[in-house]
Amino acid sequence: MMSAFLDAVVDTLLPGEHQASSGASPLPSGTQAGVVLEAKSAEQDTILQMIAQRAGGEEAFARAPLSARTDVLASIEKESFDAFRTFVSNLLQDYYEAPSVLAAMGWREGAAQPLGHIVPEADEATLERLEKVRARGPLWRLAP
Amino acid sequence: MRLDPVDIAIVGAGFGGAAFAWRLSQQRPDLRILCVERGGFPDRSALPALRSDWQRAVLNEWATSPNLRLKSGRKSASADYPIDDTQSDFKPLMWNGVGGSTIAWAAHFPRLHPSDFRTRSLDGVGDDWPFSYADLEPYYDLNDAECGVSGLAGDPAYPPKPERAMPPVALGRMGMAAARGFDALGWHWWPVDAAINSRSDAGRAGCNHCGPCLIGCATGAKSSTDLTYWPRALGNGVEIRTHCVVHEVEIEGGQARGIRYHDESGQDILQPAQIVVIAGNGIGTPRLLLASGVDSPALGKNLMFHGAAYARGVFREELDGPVGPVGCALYSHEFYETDEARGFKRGVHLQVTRENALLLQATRLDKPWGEDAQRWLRDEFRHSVAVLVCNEDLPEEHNRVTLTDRIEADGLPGVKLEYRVSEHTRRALDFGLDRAEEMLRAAGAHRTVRIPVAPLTGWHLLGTARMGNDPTTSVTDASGRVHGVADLIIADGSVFPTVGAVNPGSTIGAVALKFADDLARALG
Repeated sequence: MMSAFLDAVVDTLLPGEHQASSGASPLPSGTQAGVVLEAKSAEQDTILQMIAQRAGGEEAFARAPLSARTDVLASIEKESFDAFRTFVSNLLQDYYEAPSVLAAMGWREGAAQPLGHIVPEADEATLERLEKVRARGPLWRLAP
Repeated sequence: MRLDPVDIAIVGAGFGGAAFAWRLSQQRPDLRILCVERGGFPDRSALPALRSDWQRAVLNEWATSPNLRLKSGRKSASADYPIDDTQSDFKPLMWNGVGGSTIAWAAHFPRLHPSDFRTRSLDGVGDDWPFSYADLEPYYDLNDAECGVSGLAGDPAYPPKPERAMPPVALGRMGMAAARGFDALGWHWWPVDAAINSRSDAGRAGCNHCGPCLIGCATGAKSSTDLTYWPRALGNGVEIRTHCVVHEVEIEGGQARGIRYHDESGQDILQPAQIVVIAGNGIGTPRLLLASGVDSPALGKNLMFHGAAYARGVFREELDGPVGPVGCALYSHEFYETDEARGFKRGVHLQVTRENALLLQATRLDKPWGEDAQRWLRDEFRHSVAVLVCNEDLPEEHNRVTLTDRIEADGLPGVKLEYRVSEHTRRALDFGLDRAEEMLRAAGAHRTVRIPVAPLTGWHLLGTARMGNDPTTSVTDASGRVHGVADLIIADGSVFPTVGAVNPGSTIGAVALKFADDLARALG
C-alpha cells in the first residue's frame, strides 16, 4: 500500500490541533507523533482495503480533504464496527503513549513509578466543610 | 495420583480464601490447611507501572476483563478462562491468581450499612442476611486491622468505627472541588476508607499516587492479600499450591471428601480433605460446584453486580489529572437509605473517583477518533471529576451463572452469564445520576456528561451461592456450609444474599473471617 495513503488514514483518525487554547502546545497529528501503520494482521489489511475501495483508490483517499476522508472512515466504521474499532484502538495505543502527545497534554512521559505524583491534602476550607457533615449526627438507619 | 489427606482444602487464594486460611490457621494451628490456586503469586518487579508503555497494558494483558486479556493474545499473569458474557449488561471483571481480584482492585473499602442486612424486614425487598451488622462488626474491625485502612473515623453515615490506622488518602484538587459541591447542597460526604497505605505502615510503603492501581501496585502500598493475609497464613504453616486448577470437588454420599486438580505439569491429582472450602467468588464458585454435581436450586442464580453508571463534570479550573489512587477521594451516602418518594427501594452510593489515564480516556469516548474526539479530550483531561453511581442491585433468579456444553482449556465446563439491568436498578441509577450531575454543577462544572450504564464495572460478582436458612432458596447456612453436602463450605462473595450499594471487598473479608471462626468452634 502507498505510504501516502497509510499516512492519510492515520492523520484522518488522529488529525491533531492547529492550535491549542490557553497557551498549550497543539496536539501533533498521528504521523507527526511518529505513528506508522505497519502490516499487523489480515483484519487490518481488510479495513485498509475497504477504505481504499470506498474512496475510489488509495491515491484518491490520500488527496481528499479531511472532511471527505472522515466521511469515508465513518462509513467503514458503520459497516464493520468491531473490526474498525480494533484497528483504531491499535493506533490510539501508539499515539497516546507518544512523548510529544503526552507533553502537549501537559502530562509526563515514562513509567508511572517510581516518581508518582504529588496530590494536595485537604485544605482548611475543606476541613471546615467536613466538620459541618460530622455535626449533622447519625444518618444511618437502625436495623435489628 | 492420590495424595495424603489434609484437614482443610481451600480452593482459591483471593480475598475469601486468604482471610479464611489465615484466621483458621491462627485459631487452629494444629490443622493441616492447604490452599490450591489456579494462578501464581504476582511478580511485582514485572508490573507494567514500571514501564513507559504501561497505559497499553490496561487495554491488553492487564485489562480488567479476563475476556479482553485473552483476546489481547499477550501473555498475562492472570490464569484466565473465557466467560460468555454476551447476554450480560455488565461484563465480569476479575484477576485469577494469588490475591485474586485484590491484585487489580481499587481498594475502595466501605462496609455495608446495618440496614443492608435487613432489606426484607425493613423494605420488603431482597432477603435478610442470616446475621446482622452487629454480628459481623468484630470481623469488619479485624479485617480492617489486617488489611490496613486509611480513612477517618466519625463518619455519621455509619455506626462508630475504630480509628483508622492511617489518615485518609489525599483528597487532591478534584476531591476538594467535589466537597465544595456536596457542601453547597448540604449533602453528606466523607473521605473514603481505602485499603491503601496513605503513609508507610506494617512494612509496606505509603502510596505515592502514581495512578494505575488496577494494573497491580508496584510499591505494595495498596493492600492485596498476597501482601497481607498470605504471608501471615504461610507463616502459620498453611501450604499453598499455585498453578493448580481444581476441576472437581469429590462428593460421596452427600459429603465432600476432597478435590481433584491438574497441576502445572497437567497431572491429575486427588487431594483428600476432611473439609473443602470454596472461594472462587460469584462465577468461579458456582462453576466448580455445578461441574461437581452439587444440586442446589439456588446455585448459580441471583447474580448481582451492583448497578453502575457515571457522571463526569468538566471544570475550567485545573484539577489533578490521572493520579492515584483511582478509587479514592470521597463518597456521599446522602441517598443510601430508602426514601419511598424516590420511586425505588434502597439507595445509591456516590463515589468521587479520579481521572483515567489519557489512553484509557481516549478509548472510552463514544467515538474515539477524529477532530471531535481530540477536542473533547483537550477539554476534559486534567479538568474533570467523575462520580460513580452504584445502586443496590436486588437478587433476581433469572440473573445467573450457568455451564455451557463446551469444555474449556482449563478442563472445566465453560461458563455463561445472563444478567439484565432491572427496572428497579434503572430508576435508582437515573436518580443517582441526577444527583451526581447536580453536585458537579454545584461544584462549578461547566458541562456534565452521563454514562447511563458502565458495562466494564463488573468487579462485584455476588449472590450466586447465597446464604439462608431455607435449602430451597439458598445454598449455604449462616456459616457458609452448603445445604445437603456435609463438610463443604463457601467463603467468598457468592454467599451474599443481598449486596447493599457499596463495594464488597471489606464484607467478603469479614464474612470469610467469621466463617473461619464458626468452623474453628464447630471443630471443638
